[in-house]
Amino acid sequence: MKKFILAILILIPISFFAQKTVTGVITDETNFPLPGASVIIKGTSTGVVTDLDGKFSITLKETPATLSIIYLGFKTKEVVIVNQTQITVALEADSEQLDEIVIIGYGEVKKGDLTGSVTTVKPNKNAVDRAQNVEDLLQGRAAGVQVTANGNEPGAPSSIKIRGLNSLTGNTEPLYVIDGIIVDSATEDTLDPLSGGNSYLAPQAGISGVNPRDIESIEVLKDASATAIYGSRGANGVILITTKKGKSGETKFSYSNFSKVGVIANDIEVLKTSEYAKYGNEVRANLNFSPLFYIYNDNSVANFQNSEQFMIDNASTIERLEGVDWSEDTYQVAVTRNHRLTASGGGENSNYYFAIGHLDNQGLVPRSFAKKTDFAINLNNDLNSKLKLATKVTATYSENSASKGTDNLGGTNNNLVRQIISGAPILGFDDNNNAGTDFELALDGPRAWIEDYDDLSNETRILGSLKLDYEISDVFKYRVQVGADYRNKDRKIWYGTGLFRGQQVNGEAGFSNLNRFRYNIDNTLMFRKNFNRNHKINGTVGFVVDKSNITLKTNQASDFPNKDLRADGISFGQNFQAPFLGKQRETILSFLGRVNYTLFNKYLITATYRADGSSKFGEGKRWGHFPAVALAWKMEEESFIKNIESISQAKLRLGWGLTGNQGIPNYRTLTPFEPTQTPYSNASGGVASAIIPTNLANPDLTWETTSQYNAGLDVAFVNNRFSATVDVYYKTISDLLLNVEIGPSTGFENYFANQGELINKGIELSLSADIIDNESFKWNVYGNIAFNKNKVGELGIPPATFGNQTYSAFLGRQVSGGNFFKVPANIFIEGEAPALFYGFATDGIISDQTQLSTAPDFRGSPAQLGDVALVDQDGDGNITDTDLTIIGDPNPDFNYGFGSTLEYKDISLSFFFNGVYGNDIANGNLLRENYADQSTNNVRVEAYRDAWRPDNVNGAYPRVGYNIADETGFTDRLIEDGSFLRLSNVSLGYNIPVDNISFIDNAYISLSGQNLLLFTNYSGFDPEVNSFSFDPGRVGIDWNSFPNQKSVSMSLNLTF
Amino acid sequence: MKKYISICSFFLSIFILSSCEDALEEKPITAFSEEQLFATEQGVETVINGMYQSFADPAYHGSAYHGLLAPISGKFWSGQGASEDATSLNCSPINTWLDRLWPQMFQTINVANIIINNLENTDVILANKETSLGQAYFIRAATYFDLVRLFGGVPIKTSPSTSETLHTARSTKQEVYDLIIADFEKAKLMLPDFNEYLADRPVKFAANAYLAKVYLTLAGENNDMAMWTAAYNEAIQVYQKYSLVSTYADLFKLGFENENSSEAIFELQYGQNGAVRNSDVIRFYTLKDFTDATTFGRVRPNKETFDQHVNQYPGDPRIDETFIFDVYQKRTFDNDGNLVLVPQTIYPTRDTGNDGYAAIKKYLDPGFNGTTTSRNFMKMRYADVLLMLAEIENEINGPANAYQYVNEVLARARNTANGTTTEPANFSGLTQEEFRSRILRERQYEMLAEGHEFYDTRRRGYKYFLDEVVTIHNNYPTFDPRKDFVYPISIKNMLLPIPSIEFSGNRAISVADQNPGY
Repeated sequence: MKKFILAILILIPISFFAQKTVTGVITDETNFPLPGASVIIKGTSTGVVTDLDGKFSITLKETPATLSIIYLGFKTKEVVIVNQTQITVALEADSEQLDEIVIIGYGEVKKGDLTGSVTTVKPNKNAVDRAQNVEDLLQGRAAGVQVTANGNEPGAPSSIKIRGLNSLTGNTEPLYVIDGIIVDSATEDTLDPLSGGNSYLAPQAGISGVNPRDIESIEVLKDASATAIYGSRGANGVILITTKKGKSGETKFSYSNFSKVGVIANDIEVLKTSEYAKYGNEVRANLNFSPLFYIYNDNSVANFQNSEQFMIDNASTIERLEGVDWSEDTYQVAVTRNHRLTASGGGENSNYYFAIGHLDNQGLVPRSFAKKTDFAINLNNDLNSKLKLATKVTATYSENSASKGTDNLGGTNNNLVRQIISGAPILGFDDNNNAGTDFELALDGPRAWIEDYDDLSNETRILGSLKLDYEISDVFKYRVQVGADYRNKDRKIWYGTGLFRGQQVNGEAGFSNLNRFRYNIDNTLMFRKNFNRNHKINGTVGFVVDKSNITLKTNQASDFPNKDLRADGISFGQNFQAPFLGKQRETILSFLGRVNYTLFNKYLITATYRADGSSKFGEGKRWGHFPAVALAWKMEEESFIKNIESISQAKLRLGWGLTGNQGIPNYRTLTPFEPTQTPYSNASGGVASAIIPTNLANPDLTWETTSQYNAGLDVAFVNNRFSATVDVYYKTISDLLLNVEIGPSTGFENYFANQGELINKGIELSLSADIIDNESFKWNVYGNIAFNKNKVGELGIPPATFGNQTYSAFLGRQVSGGNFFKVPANIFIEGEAPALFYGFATDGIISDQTQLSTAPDFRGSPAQLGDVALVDQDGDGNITDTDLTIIGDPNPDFNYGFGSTLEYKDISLSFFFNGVYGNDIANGNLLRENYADQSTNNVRVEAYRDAWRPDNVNGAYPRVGYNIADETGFTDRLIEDGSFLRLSNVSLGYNIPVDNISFIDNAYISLSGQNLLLFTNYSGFDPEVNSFSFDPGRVGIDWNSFPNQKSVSMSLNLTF
Repeated sequence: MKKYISICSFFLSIFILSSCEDALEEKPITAFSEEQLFATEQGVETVINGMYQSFADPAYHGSAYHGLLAPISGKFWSGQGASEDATSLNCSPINTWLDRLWPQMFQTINVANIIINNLENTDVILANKETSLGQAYFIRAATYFDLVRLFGGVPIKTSPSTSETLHTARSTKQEVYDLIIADFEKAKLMLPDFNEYLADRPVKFAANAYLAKVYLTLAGENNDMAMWTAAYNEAIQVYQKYSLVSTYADLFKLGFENENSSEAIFELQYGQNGAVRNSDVIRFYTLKDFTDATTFGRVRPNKETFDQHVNQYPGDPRIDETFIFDVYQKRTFDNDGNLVLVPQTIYPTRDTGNDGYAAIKKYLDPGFNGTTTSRNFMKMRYADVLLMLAEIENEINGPANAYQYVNEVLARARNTANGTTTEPANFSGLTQEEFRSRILRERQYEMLAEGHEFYDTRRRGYKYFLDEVVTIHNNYPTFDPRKDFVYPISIKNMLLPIPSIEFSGNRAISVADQNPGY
């Protein structure tokens, strides 16, 4: 190493000084020379630049003169020269300037010295006020970061994808690290306690455990050189969250209050009562059945009896059916309230930050809510001059009442929103009319769901960390950090007898518990050494242990003589399922190292290496090795740019690295044997314990590896008033960890394997401009856009027939286990974009005899007039699986966000738009809403009115009574354009003058609107939807999504 | 200073002391490993139970078998919208029941293979080794026999699935039958005799009975005399090893004292254990509001199916035990919330709507609690063997010696708790051809809704299927195509389609291998 440094020294040309003038040295506070600082004679355009040793020499025409010493990242200093000939000037670092500190994995770095692609999001006041979770803060703010909601009900998690689809495992979410604590992503939840039947619980929670209001900054690590230090966990990107700390000085209190009211946005219009009755009668007439309803001229509806004449004659006495508009009957104004109080301050050797808050979010549907109470403590103490201790604890208690918004298995009966849309708009309809019909068709009605269904959860989550820094010497610093994340969540489900499922078994209750303790212990040794003025080296080596202990429990009972206690009365059931207990342990051991080398303060090199061992893989496959290297060139330090005054920053970054993913469930290399759901019975009906294998082992499982190249350019002009960042990347994800669908002839329907490859390439651009920036008026405009192209790489699967094509490909997962959409929607074809939609192409409606005569059969059954015209790809006159084809692409071309902030004196106005362009959505809900197939379900207005009829041959929808939508499964009639642009937020804020109120330092009030404008052609509730956002085998699908809201909110922030 | 160094070294030492590889070794804590289970006799028994439970699971015999096979046999109508395709004899490869049935059948086979593989390659001395192997071969063969009759040649798996053996091509029908016969032959040797093992488990004669059925099925299509003879040789081994219970009604009486009777050759056990559904048979067949239990009554015999029996044997006591018809007492609540019984008409008195079809009475279970039933399912009973013997004897030697077998069944059918009836009258004076057609229909009268209709309507060939099912149904005098399904004339209905999920996951099979007509 020394030799190398010497060699470089020899190569450095030695500067010569001329003339007898003022000479000097410019250094930083630590007497470290600053090469490239500008020394300008004030009032002239004459100036020089310091050399590599920080020295300068300047000829003065006259004295006294003032020299301005300007150096980026330092406060400009002026020195008056009277008769000095030699000066030494120490510049003070300007923390407000570019060189803010950016947290990177296991360390921090000056922003100017970053070599990787890192986006910092500093939450602004307005964004924080309305944010309910961390994901909200990121929405549209960082190029290449796409946030999609899993649902819009209270407590529903969001999913974040960084730079496209990174993996096809169950976990495509980035790694979250909160103040050094590794936090599990949203995919973890309790088990569904009700193991039988078509039930499925939507995932909940998300990154709970940190309140957006406590966040100081969020760093999104995107490229491999930035994330490689997280090796095993970095493949999907890393989100580092730094929470607020106290500042020295008197205690500051702040209080904020936020209230929001929201109403349903983009409701779906279905048939009103009288038209629904007409539709019911039409279906029956087509089947040669007598009508079910009679519709009077005043649009009142009665059950049809005897004959039309009878109905007319007895109009005055016949009881009318009570109509209902389920949407009006159910949706309410959603109200959210949030209070938060913080206290912070500090002395010479310590500082503190305390926060306590409460959130109460009542949903659009009665009885759905999310409540959260939390507190946070951050303490920093200098124990002595060498030893620093940082302590952090946050505790959150949350309660959630879910209204069954997303549903996997999708029986009509299993979902409240489905009931609101598809339920017959007549009170008591099913009691009277569906007796004896199939339960999949019967509807319980939204009221029954609200009254007789519970999905309640409560969760305690504690995050804590202790960080001890010890300055061994000027060069070495040792850090030990222990971070812990504890979660205990209970979820309980109740089906009362008002619901079909509960009525079947006389009440059904389930309890489920998740108890998880995860901790990480990081031992890191950091070093920092400047070998010579021109060579700075710093780095980290470390050893990290990350362990989790997970316990899952469920209990289930049914048949309740007394139901008043609902799920809490589970012990009073008369029929019990054996309790389930599942314990899991998970360990990751890691060795890591990073070296940053800076040459001439212009050329930066970062090299990173991490080795990870994961307990999820078998012996010999456990260790993954993840190196990365990045180069940066601070061009603004070069003389040819330095002289261009308007350019304040120009940095070129190049990087490459490997990262890994191990996001699969535990024990997949083994075959555990577990009890069957129901035991077998002996000859007297008693229990005979029955045990079977639960999954197919794959001992060859190993790391999924991402190799990523990144090139980026950061430029800023006019003292950073205008800045832009461009990044291009190319990444290959190989040995994809997949839950592969296998032939059930193996005895299993899927297993985990390393299969295939994904290629993502893209370009990201962020811009920010302080167009006007003076004392009283500030105007900032910012925006970002990210283009990403995905491709499925080599799959290693022999080509096979899909439809009438032959590809190397595999299919996604079956969308629903119910009657509708029980097919996979996505196909992954080698060389094509991933997750393309795969189904039947259609060509309108078979409208006349000519079309009918050439129309193919559907699986052997002849077509009829008014059927959907399915396209016969192979021309064999019969629609079968060989006619399946590519019908859409869920991958967006780009996503973008832009906004602006105007501040005039004490008033500020800001708005923010975000959007996605070019993706298709498979709206599975249309299978019910757009087919006027049978009278029990309600349908969209246009599906009935514009149905094909002999007198409406150009109808855009199939005939009334067309009932094979469930069998055709997935056609392009469900595909919609998902592009949108949303005015996500607009806020007006006012800094209330408080100069004459002694006890208040600052008061700020703001009024905002969320989701006030949405431009889209999408016909569902909201285009920003991905019902299975945590399942990469079901991509871009809207399945019983929950409606979004439009809302206005008001917030008040006081500091005192 | 020293203090801090010691703190640091403490943390470092924690990890250096233990080796990394050991720290990364994690094993399931709350589940068993294969080695643990196959180390003890009791452990093996629990896996054997797991195999039976897989066979009895709702996805196989508990629900899917009935939900799919009854309607697609062409002898039943089903009100289940989700399975309309199967009911109309246009079964889709994504049919709801098919998607459950096929995987569950292979799951059963895999569990059987795990048992066979472990027991045949173990040094551990286990007293129940042979009995266990016998049961595993028996269940594997019984499952493949269902598979081959439903789907034709299927992938053959004879060892536990591993990540190396994911993709298996379809074997020929003959290869599947060869395996079935070999397995039943092994089972015959290994299964215990009566009273040697659990009362509810098949004994060696069950393997004979199954083999008889295998050969009879193979004989049927081409009238292969060697096969008829083979079938006879097996069936006659079972003759008089079991006996018919005294009345037909006793067969369907609830209570474990009536179950696993002298007539039971292979009976699946169900008990009210747990709060997860173990069988849906009760809900499928039992009329809604017929008992307190919540049921659908969605699978009903076709109008012609009911009429055939009544026309053949008016007054047959089996009719009352098999069907709910004419009128029944519907349980309902009056305005004051009191339970009242209201007479409700049903086929043949009523002929439209759901109750335009009679209902099956065999699977009533007043004790059904919405999830579990204790009613067993008779996979094979002695009357079946007697009817097989009659059919086989008639094919080989004509009716003369065949009457005794069928008439034994008919004689029992005439027995009731209140004396004997005149119908069903004995078979007599029939030609070989008449006997053949009567005996096939006799199986329907005796065993309706016991899971035989699909096989019995197909095993005598395509023409027999068209005559017996399609022609009769579509030309039935009361048939209304707007209210009931027109059965297509298509070879496809001789078999079910291979489900789409197999094509998407098994690379050794392509869509071109789909069964004819689908």
